[in-house]
Amino acid sequence: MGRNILRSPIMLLLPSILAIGFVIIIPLIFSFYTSFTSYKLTRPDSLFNFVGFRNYERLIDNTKFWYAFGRTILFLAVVLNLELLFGLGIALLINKITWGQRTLRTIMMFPMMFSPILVGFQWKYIFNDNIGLLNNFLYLFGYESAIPWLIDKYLAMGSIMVAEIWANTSIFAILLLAGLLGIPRDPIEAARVDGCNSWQVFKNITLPFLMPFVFIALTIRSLDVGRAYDIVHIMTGGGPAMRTELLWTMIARIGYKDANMGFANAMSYVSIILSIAFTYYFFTKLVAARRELGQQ
Amino acid sequence: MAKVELKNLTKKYGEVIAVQNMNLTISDNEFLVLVGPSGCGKSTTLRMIAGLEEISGGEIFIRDQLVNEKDPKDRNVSMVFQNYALYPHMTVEENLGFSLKIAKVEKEEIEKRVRDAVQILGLEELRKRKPSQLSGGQRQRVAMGRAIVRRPDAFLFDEPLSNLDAKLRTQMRTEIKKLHQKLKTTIIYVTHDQVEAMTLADRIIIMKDGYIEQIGSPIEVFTKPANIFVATFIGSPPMNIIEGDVIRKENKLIIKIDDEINLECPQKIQSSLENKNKIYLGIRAEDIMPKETSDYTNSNWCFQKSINLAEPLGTETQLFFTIKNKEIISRMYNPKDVKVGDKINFQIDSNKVHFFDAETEKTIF
Repeated sequence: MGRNILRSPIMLLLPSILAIGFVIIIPLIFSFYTSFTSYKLTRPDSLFNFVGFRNYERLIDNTKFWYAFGRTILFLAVVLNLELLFGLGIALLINKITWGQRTLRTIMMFPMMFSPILVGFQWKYIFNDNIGLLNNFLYLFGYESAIPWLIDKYLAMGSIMVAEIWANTSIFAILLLAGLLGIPRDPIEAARVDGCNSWQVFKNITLPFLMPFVFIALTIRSLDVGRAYDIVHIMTGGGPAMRTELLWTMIARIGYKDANMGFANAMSYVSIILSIAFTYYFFTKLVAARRELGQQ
Repeated sequence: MAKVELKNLTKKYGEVIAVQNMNLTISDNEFLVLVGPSGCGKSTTLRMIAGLEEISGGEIFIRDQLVNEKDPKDRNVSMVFQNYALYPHMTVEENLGFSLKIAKVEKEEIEKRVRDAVQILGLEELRKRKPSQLSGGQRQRVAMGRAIVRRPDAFLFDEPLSNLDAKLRTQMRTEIKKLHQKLKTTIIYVTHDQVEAMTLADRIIIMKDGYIEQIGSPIEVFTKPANIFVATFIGSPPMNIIEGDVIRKENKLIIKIDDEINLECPQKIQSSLENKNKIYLGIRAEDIMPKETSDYTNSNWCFQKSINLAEPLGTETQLFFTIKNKEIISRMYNPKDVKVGDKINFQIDSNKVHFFDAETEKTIF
């Protein structure tokens, strides 16, 4: 009797424990362990070659890594801000129209329906300096010298940002539109009677109501953009001369191309700090915005 | 404080007419109540005055100025909404001062006016709270305060008490009345509750399907309803409406209600019934009185019926019986025990009976 009571809860929990163990805990422990070894994919026996904090020490001195780290922050900052701005604009416009809203909402989501790899290819050909659509278009207007969009060290980063923003602004637009549709009509009307013009209504009423949605969108997108890999890999491969190298393109290169998994894993663990920092920051803001509205 | 004038005001939603050719002058300091069942156009009218709803036709004047094309912000009216419509991210004080801040009123002046409003409405303790930390009644008060601080030309109330419980509603009703006496402002108040309309109004407008059915003081609309709709809408319990046939018998007009009840037509309205065969009688519950008399002949408007239901309310008992399958209510003011099935003698006060035309449903006399 006593043994049965003890056993049945464990039996019932076992499937979840096993699932979580295999999917999360074991890979986590394993990858964390490898970051303390000189594990190379090409030499499996190096898995047991424990090197302590060597990988982390190397990483701290590695300027290329810190450049990629900084570049990722810059990429996040520019992309998130512009996507928020454009997404908000689109959401506000779509919220205004009364006829054809559904169709427009669907059309707006088209970019999200393409795989990022394909988006990367598409923009790679648009930005191609010889045969690209953009340069040919500019040629029509008299710009005869081809602009090296993906080759110039500054333009390349900008081009990737454009592609990223094109593909994902609609996520912001959708989330913010959901927020806009959820705003009660009364406070807005009250504000209009209270003497607000459109801009004042937006600033004083609409925006505070929308802030929780802004922060939810930012949280989701910061994780998404933070792990950007595919679009960069396709468009520039991290080039020219590593000028567009972001954290994950660098980690992937070191981990798989150089087969230096131990070092790559050490980088990953440092990189995660970035995602955690962004998520934490946006969540704090989200809670504050909701408290402001008296929702929490 | 100002006069508000509506001229041929019309609102259409596609083919549906919400308000039709409304003409109305609301004078300075008047407390006007728009009352009617839901969908009668009363809220739409109010929202058109506020500028929140576009006008399909007609004109609105506030303080003798045409405001048709003006934005709500330029009309200098303030509105109290049914759901309070407080700004959830602002404290009570900020809610009250918001309109003044937008109007760039000086800070000291804002503080002074907010302080005054807080005092008038008894919100001192709650100044720093957010709307989510207030009860329904308190929120209602803040919503009213927000309207007061602006010192507008007119106050617009859109069913402000419907979300409160019965007790609080009565209390707030009194407060609104007092507020009006204190502030002496033009108030346009929309409600579907005829008790609110009766207690608050200087003048009541009863609306139905976008039309005005009657305009008058509370006493007028109660004692002289223009038609059956107004008669049954105003007053609680609603006025009893009984169908009757007009029969000519030995130079006399008899109103035949059913086989047992034949009432002699009073002299004063005989002439108006002369060429009619059918009419409706409107009798308020208090005008059908239970009588302790054995004389229940029809001659002095007495009759006998057995009771289907008795609802004792303390000061009165409401007796329910049927005439021609229609439920009739009578008020008994000196309550005694009545059982279902008891035969009771009633007398109708013939001076207080309303007569309505059977076709137009308008008051004949």
